[in-house]
Amino acid sequence: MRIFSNGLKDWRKSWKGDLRASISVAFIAIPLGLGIALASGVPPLAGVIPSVIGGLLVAWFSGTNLAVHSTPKMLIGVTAAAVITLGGDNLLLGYRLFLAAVVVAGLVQFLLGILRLGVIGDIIPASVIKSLLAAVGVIIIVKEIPILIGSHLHPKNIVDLFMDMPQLMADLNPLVSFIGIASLVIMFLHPKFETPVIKAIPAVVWVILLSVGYSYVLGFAEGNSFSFFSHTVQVDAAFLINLPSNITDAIVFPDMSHIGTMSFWSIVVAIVLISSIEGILSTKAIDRLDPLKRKSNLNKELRVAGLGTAVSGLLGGLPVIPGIVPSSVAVSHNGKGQLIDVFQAIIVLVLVVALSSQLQHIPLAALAGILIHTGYKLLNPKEIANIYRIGSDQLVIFLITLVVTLTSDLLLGITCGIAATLLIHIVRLRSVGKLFNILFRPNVVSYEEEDHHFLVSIKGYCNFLNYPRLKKALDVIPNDATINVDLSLAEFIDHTVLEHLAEYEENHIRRGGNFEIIGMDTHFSSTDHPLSVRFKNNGKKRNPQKLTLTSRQLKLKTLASEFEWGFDLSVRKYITTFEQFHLFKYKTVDRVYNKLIGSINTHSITIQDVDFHEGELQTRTEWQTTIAVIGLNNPIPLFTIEKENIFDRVAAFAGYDDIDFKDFGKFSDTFNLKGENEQSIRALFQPNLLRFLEEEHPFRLESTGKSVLVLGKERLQSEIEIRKLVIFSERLASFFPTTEN
Amino acid sequence: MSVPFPFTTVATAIAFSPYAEANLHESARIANMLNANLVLIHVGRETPQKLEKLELLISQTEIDSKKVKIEFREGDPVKSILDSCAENSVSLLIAGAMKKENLLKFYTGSIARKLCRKATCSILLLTDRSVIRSQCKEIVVSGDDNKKTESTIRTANYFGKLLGAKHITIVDEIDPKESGDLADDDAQLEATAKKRQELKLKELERMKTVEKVLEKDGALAVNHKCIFGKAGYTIGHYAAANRADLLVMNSPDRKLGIMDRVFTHNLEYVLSDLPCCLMIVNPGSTNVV
Repeated sequence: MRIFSNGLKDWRKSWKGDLRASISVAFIAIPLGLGIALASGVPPLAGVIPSVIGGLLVAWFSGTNLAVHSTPKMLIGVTAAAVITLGGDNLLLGYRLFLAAVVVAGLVQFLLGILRLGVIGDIIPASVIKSLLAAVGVIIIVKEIPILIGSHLHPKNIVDLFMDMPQLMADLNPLVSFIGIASLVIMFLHPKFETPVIKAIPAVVWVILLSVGYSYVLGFAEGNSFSFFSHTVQVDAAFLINLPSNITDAIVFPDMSHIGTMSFWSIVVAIVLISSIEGILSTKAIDRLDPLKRKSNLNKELRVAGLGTAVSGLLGGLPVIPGIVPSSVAVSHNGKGQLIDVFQAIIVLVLVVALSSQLQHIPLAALAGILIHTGYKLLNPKEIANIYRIGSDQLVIFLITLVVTLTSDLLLGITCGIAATLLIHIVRLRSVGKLFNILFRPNVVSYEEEDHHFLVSIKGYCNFLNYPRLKKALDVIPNDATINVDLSLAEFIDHTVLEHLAEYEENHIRRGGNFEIIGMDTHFSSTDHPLSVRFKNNGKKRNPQKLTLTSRQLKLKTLASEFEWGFDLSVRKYITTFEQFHLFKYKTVDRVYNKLIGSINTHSITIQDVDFHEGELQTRTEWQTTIAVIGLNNPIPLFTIEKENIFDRVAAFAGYDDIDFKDFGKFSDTFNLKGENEQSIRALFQPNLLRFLEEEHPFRLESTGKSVLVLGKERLQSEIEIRKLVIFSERLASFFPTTEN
Repeated sequence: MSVPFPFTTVATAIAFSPYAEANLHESARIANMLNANLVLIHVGRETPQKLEKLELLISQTEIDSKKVKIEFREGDPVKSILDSCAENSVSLLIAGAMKKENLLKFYTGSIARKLCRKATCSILLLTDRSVIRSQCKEIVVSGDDNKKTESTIRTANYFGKLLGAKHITIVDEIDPKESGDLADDDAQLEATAKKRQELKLKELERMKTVEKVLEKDGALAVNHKCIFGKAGYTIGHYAAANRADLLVMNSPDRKLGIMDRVFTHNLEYVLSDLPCCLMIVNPGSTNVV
């Protein structure tokens, strides 16, 4: 295994910047770790150990390029429940038994990485993952609200929280809740401040500095009481974090005695699943932050973080994952490599040892403020509205997962969410057998159409279950290639796949390639969100569904407004305008759509998607393609130019010979040029036009005298290809006489 | 290596249904085109009425009735048809594929499937989109690394010329595992891309020998496509995506059984979801391994 996947060669250049960045990172890592551990119901330092192990051990072999490792926050609920399940009333025993589960989970995760099963987080439906994040957000908020206001009550879930609200309010400690709410306000308002001094220090550090000062001033540690009117308010060390006086006491060893029980293994599964999911999510997010646009190795990261988790568990710590919060702080402080992770670990270790007595003064309420802010970010209320816009089916999946997770546990929540998704798919597919098919049959073909241009065709049903196949096909395509994902043969594409495709699009374009989805414009969907489930109608009776804009259509719309062209989305049937062209002599146009109407030079141009078929009933073959028609204002001779290998042999000007040009061997070889009036055709095809055609080699051109048909490819074309078609048409038209001449 | 063409004897099974009548017409036209004799196999008891009816049907087709032989066989349909093929040294068996109700998919009937699996001669499976009735433009042929491939490609070329096609596309399916399909990070991706390029060149090199033979036959224009994907599935999907009219494949190397349907592979992928007419080329009855 190579140390530092991107090599150590650049460390001399970046170590200073990395060291500076790591100071900020360490100052954030400590309170976050402490807070997460406290919320999880384990000793506070258990949440700091992963940062240290992550930097000292994992960073050297990490699959990521600039991730800083920390503790997973999505495990808060799992951990808290596990400690109670395993240990009952004996919290220390529960904690030690839980640590055993962490060690085993780390090893399991390592194995998953070896088996290259990093995709496990990818095949969970997108709405289930969103719901899990939201559920964790709710769990954190519910847990932390009483601590924020200094109450001694511990409502178990959201219902308890509302039921206990009157008692909570009666139990409220104004001095504690002041610093708690102030922390929360700082967390939310900090990003809004533009003042450099405030901005330079992260919100979390502000919270800690101010709250520690506050607790010193009010004498939390010694215990103090204040009288407000007739009311006495007590503050004491119970409202402060409790760290062991000797730091080595934080190291607690796991107790393996429960390894044979079911509950132990279900906790292991939960830890593996949740930390892999969170790890993958944050690794992907960190990749998006990377200014150098490198790609992380998810499987390698899974392996290494798994080992890190096992070691952390052995020493009494929570699992290790690449953490999005410290990593984004690192990036925003110009951190460039994995050295930050190493530095921050050392700094964290030094700070915790050196400042342990000062850290003792951190009020729990301040940590609660930080955590509630994190919980709110996870809950992400905007995302919930977005899910509703994607489709009510997604909202159902989201809510089922959320409710089950909150009332039971995460594992059951994921299971129910997946079951609900499957059920909805079965209803849509109207068959259980097809699901079986989906699992075991390939449905993707990817090939190089021409140099560096890949076509990825998806057939039949494509959902979260067979997404890994699509992923595999997409992953092996070089970064700078042009990818067209053709969905015209796909009958059903679910939201998860569309979301992944959107992600690919973003990443691939960021790395300098082109990525477009074609062939989805005539699929149906139930809402007007670009990522909502798409399906073909198959001519069956169904509720009328709206046709909604796909990303390709949105791009075409932008293209139209850029050129100040018209864009007509409507689907028109029974079109006869194409009959004038030989290409359509034996073909029937079924419908045209996505019509761009504009002008080039002084000519008019229309570019549209055309569905047509040839033959009837038994001999029917259907096609989809994009065709440009240039309307000329001055007549030119009739001709057809077709390339060898065009998808049809058209009975164009049957009986006429191929017109060749002596000096243009390449043109004469590549194309068949035919027409009635050879003389006038030769007059039109001047050397510069011939040279142009030799360079561009279009598929087919056809002139009816008044208009010219341009066919670029045998399939629907992506937006980029349409842009090329426009440029081609523009240059082509410049060779034709206009009225002015 | 022997090649199955020119096909001297063509056979088809005949029953009495509108669909079978269409099948008879097709087969007659193909036999005519190939200038071959036609064997009509009817599985059932021979009666004068049936014979009379068949003769009437034959007289309506374009084939010279002297070139037609009618065989009546009783017993298991698959066995009867295969036996008859062997006895009459049939080189091409024509069978029809059914259309699944409601779904726009071709589904190969169980008899046709069994024939495909067990036949020792070449088979042409006709879908509704018949190669013969419409112009045949796009012929896709498998370029597997198999000793049968050469004769399969030559047969596709021969057939393509007869059908008036302009070019054939040889699809080379390469197992992605062979190429190293790792792309976890940029370094792996680069290595995989390089390996794939090498493999492609190697495949093209292999194809050159085939091309030389094709040239002697008078080849159509040949396109090559190297596709990384599951063998058998990939070529079918490619044919569907490119609206091919005829797909030409090698005969299976061994007899396929029930397990091959459960763990679908190679030919079975195409049989379960026919993208277009399918021709399975068997280089000669004695050559089956």
